[in-house]
Amino acid sequence: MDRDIIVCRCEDVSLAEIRELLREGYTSLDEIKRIKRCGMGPCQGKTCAPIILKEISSFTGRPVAELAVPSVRPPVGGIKLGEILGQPDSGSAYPGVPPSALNRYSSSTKPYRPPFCLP
Amino acid sequence: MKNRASVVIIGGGVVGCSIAYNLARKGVRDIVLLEKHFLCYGSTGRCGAGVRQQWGTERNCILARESMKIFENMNEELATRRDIELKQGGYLLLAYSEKELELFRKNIRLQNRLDIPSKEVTPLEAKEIVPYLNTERLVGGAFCPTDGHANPFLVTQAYADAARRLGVEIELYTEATGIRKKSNRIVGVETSRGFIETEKVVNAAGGYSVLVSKMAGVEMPVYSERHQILATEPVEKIQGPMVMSFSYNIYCQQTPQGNFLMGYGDPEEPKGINTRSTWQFLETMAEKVTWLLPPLRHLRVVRQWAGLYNITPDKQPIICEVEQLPGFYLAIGFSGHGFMIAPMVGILISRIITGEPVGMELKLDLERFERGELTPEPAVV
Repeated sequence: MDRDIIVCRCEDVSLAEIRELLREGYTSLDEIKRIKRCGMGPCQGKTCAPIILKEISSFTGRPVAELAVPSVRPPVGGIKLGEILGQPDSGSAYPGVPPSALNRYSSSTKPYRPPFCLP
Repeated sequence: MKNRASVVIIGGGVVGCSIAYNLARKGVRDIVLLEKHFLCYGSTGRCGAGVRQQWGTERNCILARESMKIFENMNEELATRRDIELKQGGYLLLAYSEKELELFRKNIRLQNRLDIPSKEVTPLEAKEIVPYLNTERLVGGAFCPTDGHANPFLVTQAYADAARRLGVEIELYTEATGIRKKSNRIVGVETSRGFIETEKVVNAAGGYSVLVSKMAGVEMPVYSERHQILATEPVEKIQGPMVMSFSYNIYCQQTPQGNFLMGYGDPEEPKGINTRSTWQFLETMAEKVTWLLPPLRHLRVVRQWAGLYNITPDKQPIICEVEQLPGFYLAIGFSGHGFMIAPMVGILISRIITGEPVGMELKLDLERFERGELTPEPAVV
């Protein structure tokens, strides 16, 4: 059943894989992030970190409050390189680039908002 | 933790782990590696993940070429649990002046002589390799198809796992706080978790190398400097090679995961240990990359971070036993190109430590600076 529970939506990592990493000896979120990429995706750990920290706590017996957390880095939400410069987001015809390639979430007509919840 | 080791390696990046593995492979026992945080906390874990063989000196070309051969076989040799993600999509170097192109031509002749399959490309040919490349002002370029990308975390972990299997003890969250000497010989390393008796210490501390050498009373004309970098969200594969330019000052590649990694060197960056991020970098990076690679303006930046280049006067590493303090070894000062030669550095340092012939002319000793024998490498970003 662990295999069906997705802990990290950005990188498609299941609970079973997290538990396997813990058994391999990776008992910190920093290490799990670097090996399995949880925390490197668009949500930057906002979704998966609390879940993984809970698993680390269960596995190691250390309270969540004592666990180290990877640094938070800018930008807070995904901002397009063109947006930073105030460029319009129009015009997506480039040689060698299929139009669908530039937007992983292009299937939606709504503007993209990264999955995160604020405290 | 052991209180006695035959060799203590300070630094858990790719260089430290490569040295640990190669030493253990030679049969050296009781090796301890000390890492202040977790593996790859330093420069290895922050780098652009590029591996290239297009260098301007014979020695660098050989180090890179031989390291690439090791990368190509690493999954097998180290029996890795996770593929190191070697992607050989090439490095496309861009020249914006005749002078720069001439330098590329000279380098290509050297590289070809050493069996590195690089070649000159015209702007049109560059556009065939990266169709959406903006070729305005481009005079020409160089391309080597076997250059590319490898995953720094997984490579380091592969070396660490293999080293552990051979008996190396890797102590994470353990900081080296001092090196004790007696009559100009090392007697041990003081750490945050106790003292380890040893006569041999390897400084593989990357950005913190000067601090570690100071512990041993060794001065080095080396400094650290922040370099910033960012990653975008992952998208379908649209770019084969790493695109890089020394004169335009940029590097940008798409990883096998689909994210774009990119950076440039800030000429005004002050020396020092600083890994914070700035909005100025984000803005300048956006300007530079959207001009050169227009489709990227539609990509979302998910994270920016920074790491340290450990820089020497000739931008070449220091790989040696220190003359004034036998038993103290240096594998530092890679000036932004450590990851790509780490496989060979591990082999060379392990030969130096065990007293075997090094097998190639290095001239990378610490004392070369005093003698004025510098061999500057022209091809650096």
